[in-house]
Amino acid sequence: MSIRSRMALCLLLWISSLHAEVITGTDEMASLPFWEWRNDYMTLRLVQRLPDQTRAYFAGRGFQGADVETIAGHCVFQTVYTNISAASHKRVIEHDIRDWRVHYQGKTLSIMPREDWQPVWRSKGVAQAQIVAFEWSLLPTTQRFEAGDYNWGMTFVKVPHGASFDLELHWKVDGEPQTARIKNVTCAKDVYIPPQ
Amino acid sequence: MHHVLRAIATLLFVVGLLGSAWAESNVLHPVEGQPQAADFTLNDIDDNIHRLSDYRGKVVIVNFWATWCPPCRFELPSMEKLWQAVQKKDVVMLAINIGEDADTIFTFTTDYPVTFPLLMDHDSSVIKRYPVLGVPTSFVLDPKGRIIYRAVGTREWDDKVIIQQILSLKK
Repeated sequence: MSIRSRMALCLLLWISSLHAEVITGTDEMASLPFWEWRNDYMTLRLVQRLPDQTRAYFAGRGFQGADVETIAGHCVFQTVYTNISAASHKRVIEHDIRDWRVHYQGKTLSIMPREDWQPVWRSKGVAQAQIVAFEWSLLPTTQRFEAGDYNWGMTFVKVPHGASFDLELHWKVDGEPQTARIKNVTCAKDVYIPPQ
Repeated sequence: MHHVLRAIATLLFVVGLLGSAWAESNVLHPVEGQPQAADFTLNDIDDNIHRLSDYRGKVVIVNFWATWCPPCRFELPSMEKLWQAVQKKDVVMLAINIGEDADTIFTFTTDYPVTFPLLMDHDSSVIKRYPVLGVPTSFVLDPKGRIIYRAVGTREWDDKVIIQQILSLKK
């Protein structure tokens, strides 16, 4: 990339950063709170999952009681990551969630990616079918999104239910490192909510 | 000066948003190098055997999915519409389920009826031979078995642009 091209890209990224914003509200599909970071080329939405939802989901995938509780003991978010750049002005976005950081009560934590769960399940003798379902249910650890691409997946944060934290995001757009912070993301409380 | 910059930035942002219309991004992305797709042999839920290399000479759409994956469910109706439009035009669609059994998938099709083959990759050995990091991910293979296009996440498969991309590979 020439110096001129690099400067143009930096200018565009700076302009994009001026319009980055965090939107919060209630996710229409889940009827639960969400936090969404967005600019003109990408959106990243974290939607709360209730611990009971997580229990039901993984019990339905064949996990047994103690293992279900191990999973539901984490703060789980459905995460939707989208490259919204137009094909006529497309950007390539890459992420590695191992770079993301959780800031909670003065501590800095990492997101637990799918690779870190595999030895946990193998040591517990969990069946291959369950491991496969678990692995593909999580947000991919690394991903490369072209215009129009997106993925869904769960992300796991080890903070108490009901706690709030800041999530520090890192990604690359067209190879340029970027960072952002979503403040006061709140983990769902472990409560029973009757059907409406 | 700062206000002017912000105004320019706002204008560019709005233009950018308009430019990022859905139709523009609902496309299949070319795969660099057009690698040969890994061959596989899998059963479908009706116990028919599908070997990828047996479909050489046809355009093949390979989709990796699971019943528990919301965006996978979302795109199934448009995949069925695409299938109805192209199945008699030397195009094959293989939807490969990850890790679930035939009973689970069969029950699922009560709510999501589709007529294209639903294959089962029980141990995820096939998906791991493809450049897939999450589901749904789809690939379009040309008649020589090369991966020409990919899509990460949902597409509106019955969109005319995508149909044209697929059918153009028949040449």
